Amino acid sequence: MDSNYIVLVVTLIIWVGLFFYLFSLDRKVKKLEEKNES
Amino acid sequence: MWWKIIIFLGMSAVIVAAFLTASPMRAANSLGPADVYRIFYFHVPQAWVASLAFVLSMIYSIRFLKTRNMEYDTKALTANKLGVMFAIVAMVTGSIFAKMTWGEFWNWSEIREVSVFILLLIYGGYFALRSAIADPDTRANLSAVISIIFAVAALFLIFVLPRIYSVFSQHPSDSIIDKSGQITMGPTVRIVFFSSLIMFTALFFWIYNLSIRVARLTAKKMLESK
Amino acid sequence: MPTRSISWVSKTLAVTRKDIVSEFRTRYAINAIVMFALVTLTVISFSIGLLSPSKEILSALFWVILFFASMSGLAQAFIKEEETGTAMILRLSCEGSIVFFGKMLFNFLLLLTLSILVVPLFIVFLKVVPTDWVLFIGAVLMGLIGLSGATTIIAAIVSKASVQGALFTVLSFPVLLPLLVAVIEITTVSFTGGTFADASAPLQLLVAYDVIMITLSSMLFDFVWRL
Repeated sequence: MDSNYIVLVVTLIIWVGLFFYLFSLDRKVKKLEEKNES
Repeated sequence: MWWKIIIFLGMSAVIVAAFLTASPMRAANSLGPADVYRIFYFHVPQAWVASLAFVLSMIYSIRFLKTRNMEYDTKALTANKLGVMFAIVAMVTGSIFAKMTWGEFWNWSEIREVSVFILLLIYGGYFALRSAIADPDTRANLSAVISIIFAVAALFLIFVLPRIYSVFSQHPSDSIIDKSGQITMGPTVRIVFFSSLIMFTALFFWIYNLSIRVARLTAKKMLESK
Repeated sequence: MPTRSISWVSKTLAVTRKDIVSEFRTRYAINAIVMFALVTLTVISFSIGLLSPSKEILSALFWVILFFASMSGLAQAFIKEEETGTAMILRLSCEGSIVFFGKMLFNFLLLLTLSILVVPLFIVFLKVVPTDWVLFIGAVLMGLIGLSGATTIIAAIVSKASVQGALFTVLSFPVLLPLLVAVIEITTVSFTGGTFADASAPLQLLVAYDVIMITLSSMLFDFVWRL
């Protein structure tokens, strides 16, 4: 059962990393779009 | 904003549940330990998203040929790019599963592995064609045409491949879907699986939307620099 | 409109005749295809002629030879038009469907010539005789129709791109895969002494493939031809 927890934690770390990458990308794109609008 | 939080919490919950609830396969069987079957929660939604991307790019290719609107070309291209990404991920998770249960990463007698490989060949052909044409209008036009031809060929393959492989296939469909095509999963397994499916689809559309916006910004920048 | 359909047929034949005449002048495509097929056939005979491969393997090898040989020459039909600049004149003088079926017929005749040369050599070199000739010839003919039908539009697409030769094979393979699977199955049946009933499922598939691919390609051809 221990190895299950290790895989779980690794997967969660990858997911959190991916999420925050996408999140920051989303914000950057939004800023650029607003700059282009004006 | 709120849906990003839902995706974040939902996917996290799916990951936690996938590893902490009982495995979809209750007991170890001749093919391997029960825990191996947890990959089903991730592998199947990935494969589903890859085929969704493929269908999406077909639809946009047809709409492009009807309207000649370059926006649709960008959408078809983006869907194909994401499709490749998810197909590769699904192929890797599938191979790991194959190694754990059947002892080999790759097996040519396994229909799903062969079909995902052909799917990647099709994507490869699409991108090779795009990179070989310089003029944007010609490129959009020809890649839309080849997409439609590929789609019809892929339909044929769906009919053809099971015919040769019906004898060989080892893919564990019986454990999840029984012979009559009905889903026989326990309630917990079902909840985790379908939430995973929904979360992966939502994630796909988020990345898809982002990529299109990035592509639009890049195109605009290119125009301005000219 | 009988007169219109008659002139459509005669125009299509005119495109084919034009290609045959220009092919006889240079003999570029036919040389490439036939030599490629001979080289592949020789390589295969040398490498497995001493072994005794099963009939299933031989029927697959037969179509591998035809597939790669056709890949080496079929793209020429359109590449030549684009290179010599005659594509524009052809575009002005007749409509898309005429060009498509004219070129397809030319490619079919090219492949037919090829298989008339290759089939006897294959039978002699690899010592395999079809037990059911009707089935075998039917499979070859239907296979060649599908092969020329599906690759003609790809040749037209490729002629507008760079790195044409490699691209043609890359694009053709996934499209031709269902055809190859079906036709190899029928050829195996004809080698191993089966009957029509044994091959009925792949035969139906082959006919459906030919009809659908040719219809689809002729519908999409205008998008490629008139840019």
